[in-house]
Amino acid sequence: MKLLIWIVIALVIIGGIAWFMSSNDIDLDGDASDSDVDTLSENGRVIDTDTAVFDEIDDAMGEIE
Amino acid sequence: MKKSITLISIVLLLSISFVLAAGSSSGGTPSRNSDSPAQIVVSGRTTCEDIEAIRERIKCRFQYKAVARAEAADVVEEACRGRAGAINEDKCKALYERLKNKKCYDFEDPVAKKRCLLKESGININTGGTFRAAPNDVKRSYVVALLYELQERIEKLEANGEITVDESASLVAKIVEIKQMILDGKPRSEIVPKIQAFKAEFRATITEDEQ
Repeated sequence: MKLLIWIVIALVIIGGIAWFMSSNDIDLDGDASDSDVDTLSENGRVIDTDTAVFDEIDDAMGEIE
Repeated sequence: MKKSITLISIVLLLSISFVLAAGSSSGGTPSRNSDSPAQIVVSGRTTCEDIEAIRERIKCRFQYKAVARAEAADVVEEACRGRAGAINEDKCKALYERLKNKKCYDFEDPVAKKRCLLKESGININTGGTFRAAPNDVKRSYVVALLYELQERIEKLEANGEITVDESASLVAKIVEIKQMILDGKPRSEIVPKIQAFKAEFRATITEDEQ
């Protein structure tokens, strides 16, 4: 009987943690979609790879008149 | 007696091998301190500036790095030479000086590097200035700064032996040509195809050498 109680408690705790983590993910996704980060701004695209530098050049060229 | 002869022989052998090793380490390979004119002459070339074709001039700098280092302070950046358009030679030189003095390309952190490139191109980040709102010349300067970043990457690949001198010279010559068009104020419709062609060559070169 005691073992059954402990199993129920463990399941409740695990379920609670899982719910908390999944709700956090939703919040993070929401933040990302709400933000309007200009890729060419200092906080926009990170130019850490060759591809990122090329993409940055393409976007910057798109802004040139 | 026998012991002392053996000991003297060992000491002599050690001394000879040490002298030989010290001699071969400086033979033929230019070191950091070998930029003096006398040692550059040994490499067979004292300047790359007397070569007329731009691609060959760039190739020369890859081949004779000591010559390139010695000349770096006195020569004008290839892309800036003779520019008289939207961004003239003086403005172009000033841009390179700012990028060099602020050591933008030395930043390991890509976010800090981008901030430096944007700022030194003329975007007033500190007062909340955005790229979109910046004047056209500033936008063009930023593209030039990004192209120089690619040039730095090519130079590193060549230095690490990942691409050849010919491949590096060809890629850098194309970068210089694109930069000149941007500085001259050429329309986007003329520049973009050049960038796409360069991108294709860059990717083909890197992929080819990775295999």
